[in-house]
Amino acid sequence: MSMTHTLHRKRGPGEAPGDYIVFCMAAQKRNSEGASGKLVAMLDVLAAGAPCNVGDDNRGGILTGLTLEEIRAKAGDKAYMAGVYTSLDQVKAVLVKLKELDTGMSVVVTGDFQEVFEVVRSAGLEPHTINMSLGIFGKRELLPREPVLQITTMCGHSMVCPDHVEHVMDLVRKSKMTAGEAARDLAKPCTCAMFNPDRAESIISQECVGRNRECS
Amino acid sequence: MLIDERSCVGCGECLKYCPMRAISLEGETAKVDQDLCAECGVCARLGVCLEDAFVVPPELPWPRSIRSIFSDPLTEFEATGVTGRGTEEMKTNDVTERYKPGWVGVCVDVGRPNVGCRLRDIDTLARAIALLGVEFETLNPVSYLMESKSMGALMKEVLDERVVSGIIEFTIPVEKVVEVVQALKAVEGEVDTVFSVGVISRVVDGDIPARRHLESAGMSVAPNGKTNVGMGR
Repeated sequence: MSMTHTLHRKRGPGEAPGDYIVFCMAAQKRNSEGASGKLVAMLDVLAAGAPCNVGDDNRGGILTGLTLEEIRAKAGDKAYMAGVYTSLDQVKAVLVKLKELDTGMSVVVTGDFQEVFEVVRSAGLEPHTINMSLGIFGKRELLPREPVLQITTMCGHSMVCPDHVEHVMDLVRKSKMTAGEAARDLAKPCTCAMFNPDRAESIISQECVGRNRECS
Repeated sequence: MLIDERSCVGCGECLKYCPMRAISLEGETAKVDQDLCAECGVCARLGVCLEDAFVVPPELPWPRSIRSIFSDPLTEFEATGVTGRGTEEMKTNDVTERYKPGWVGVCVDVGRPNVGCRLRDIDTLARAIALLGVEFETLNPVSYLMESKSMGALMKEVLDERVVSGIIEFTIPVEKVVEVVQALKAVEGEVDTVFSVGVISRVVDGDIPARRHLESAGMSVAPNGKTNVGMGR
């Protein structure tokens, strides 16, 4: 998939970092022919790094109902393999292993630039190109409220709906669902597998239960 | 998307999953407002309907077929060969060198987040951008729909189509980045939606020229974004 899906993840005021995505892909018609095996090997590295979500942007992920074996089996040369992490140590370990694997496929990390640059360099790599968000323009009055937006923008395709977020938040408030169950329910429509359920759980807890569970 | 009225029991379970709020209950049956529906497919894909009442159209006619290309992340756009609304942009720049030092890429993500848009909104913004003499990215669904790239004008027959979002992509010399953002701000009141703006820049010896230009003009850049780590070849 091609787009800016992890670019505009909206952070809450004072929200600590703890939301990182590593994704791997071939450049179509440049180094994509026969790339599926390399991308599956990279998926295995991503999956071994204790991600809270992992999958193939073109097919889905472990929170949309696929198993790792199914993701491997369905992978083609156009696969976009993604892993979502909550700590920089995880990101560094994954980058070091991907560097050792040396597939020649492109790797992108989403997260705070300052943190990511440090981690990238500590893994013996150098930032090449960045994509920066300048924020939201236009009729901002049409947007959902802030905590909902923090959750929905974790799916850049807008497959996670504000009404769905409000619905599960209401269930959590009524103790009919835990914040963790709510977060995993919200991850289901996100076929790119880049939704961070741990962060969503934390936001829902803060919003509905009044306590902020630390991501680990 | 369609609903088989004979199968639907009117439970309303599906309503909250529609990004476009196109599904509503009319009496005992859920109905999809065909004007609002962006053909993203999420309602059917999620399998929330216990009666299996959603009917995926076998093939969408032109120009409605555009809705799926822009809105369903699993639909491939034939011209680019990849799924989704844009291109590989900076994600493979270490291989493609699409964005060279001295140049920046701009991605105007119209309808995002969570609002959706008509292609008419994209047309409005693209026309404003075109006045600056930008180079629109060829392998992009929006550019493909332009009847005049020099004017940024989309084909008239697509203007009323509704999509989850669409991305206008173009490149400019780095020193024009502030002018582009100012041009977008000048017309933001003319669209009936929101749009998110991204700026792509090479990192040159640790320096990010585009960020310097933006911040010196008082424009804020989010602390988080995407970094291509240079592993591709």
